[in-house]
Amino acid sequence: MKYVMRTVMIVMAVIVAVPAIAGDGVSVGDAAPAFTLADTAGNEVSLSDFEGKIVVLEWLNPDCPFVQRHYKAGTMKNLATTYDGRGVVWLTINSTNYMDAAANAKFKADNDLPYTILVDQSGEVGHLYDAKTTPHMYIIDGKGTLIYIGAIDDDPRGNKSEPAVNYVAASLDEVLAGSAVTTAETKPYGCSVKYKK
Amino acid sequence: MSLRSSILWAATIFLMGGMAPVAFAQEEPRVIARLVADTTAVESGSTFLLGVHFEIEDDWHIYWRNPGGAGLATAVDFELPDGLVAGPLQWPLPIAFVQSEGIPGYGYQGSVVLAAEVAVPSDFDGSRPGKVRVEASWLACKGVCVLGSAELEASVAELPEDPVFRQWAGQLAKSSGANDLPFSLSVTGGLADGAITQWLRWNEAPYPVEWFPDPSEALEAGDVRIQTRGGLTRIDAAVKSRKGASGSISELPSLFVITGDDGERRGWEQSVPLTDN
Repeated sequence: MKYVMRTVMIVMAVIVAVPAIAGDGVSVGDAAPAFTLADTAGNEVSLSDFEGKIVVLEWLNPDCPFVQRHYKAGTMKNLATTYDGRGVVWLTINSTNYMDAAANAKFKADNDLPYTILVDQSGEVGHLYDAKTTPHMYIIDGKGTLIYIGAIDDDPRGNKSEPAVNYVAASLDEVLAGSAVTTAETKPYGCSVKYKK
Repeated sequence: MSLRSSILWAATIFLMGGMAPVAFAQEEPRVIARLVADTTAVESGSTFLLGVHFEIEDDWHIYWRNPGGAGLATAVDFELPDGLVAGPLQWPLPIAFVQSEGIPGYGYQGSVVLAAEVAVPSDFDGSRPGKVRVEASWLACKGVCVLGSAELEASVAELPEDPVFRQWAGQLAKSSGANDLPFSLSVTGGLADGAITQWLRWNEAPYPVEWFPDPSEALEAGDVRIQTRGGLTRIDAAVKSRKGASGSISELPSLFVITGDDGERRGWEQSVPLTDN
């Protein structure tokens, strides 16, 4: 009887303990998966539109306090503006299930963002890249290969006494100089992407 | 929120005053943090437990030292009078939950105490005890997330003793050297395979088991699947290293937790080798 009871408990425990399995995701060195999404104005934007260019992908959720901290500090906007002059494309993707084009358009206008926000309410592209956090950063080189995946910087709590290392800036500097990226993968931090159930 | 919880929250809000060893999160009171100890006053040449008791609003959670696929580990930092030394922060057994589709999370709901053992030197001057200060920070989530923090302090001569410590040690995992593991463990696979399988051969009828990986920043572990057949449990997990990240990739610290017939959870820390065999 004890064995039977434990067996029932084991089945129940497995159901609770094993989360849904994520997509295969991507790794540094992989070809960046192709995608097409609509921007806040309803225009279709494809990764292939930027063939030959370095592309930064940023996962966004304006309700996440980590995102709010970086937007208050101008982290993303300053990076995008700085590297736009060096030919880098910045695409922000919002896979938050409850944020439609209008909500993203409002965020873009409120923050006077110079870059495109792509609306991914279905979460299809988020799962394709296995984006887990907001922010979660990806860099794709001119050949379409992923060269950085991870956190925006090394300061999850935003309270480091010494200056934070911005991994995206460091990676872009290296690839623009023709070098391999030294820190190509880091653990992302932030809120979980609020995917559609 | 239950009536009991509501009364507790209301009472705590009413009683809170000044910079007592109680503080709220900065925005919403999703979490109440209180400084707690297992004694009221320290003695020279002894040790005591000092920590933070987090009361978490119903259905919200805060995070374990490995938050899982997203989130942020709860932090507790101690500032102690000269001579007092805090050991490592000790973490009660976490629970597993799904943060969002495909994203596991590890943490705590309801309440938890994160504490450390503090050593008091034999020449500690009890007449000038000074103050202990603790800075706690956390991320609390329930669909949306809220960052919280608290700065807590108390006199060493009047520590806020909390009865929670009477059962607290039983909520901790046993260290890897414990000899009462109810199963023998073997591991196949490794980083080269991109996956490991842990085989748990039970000494008696198998228990429900959970596995909590606690990788370094240089490792990623996920897609955990647990299956039990007969007296054997297999735990499969995807593992990969992060290129250029710092930290050990030779082993994967982790926590095994079983639920006994009485419903009690017991845990053991085990480091899983990632040799490519």
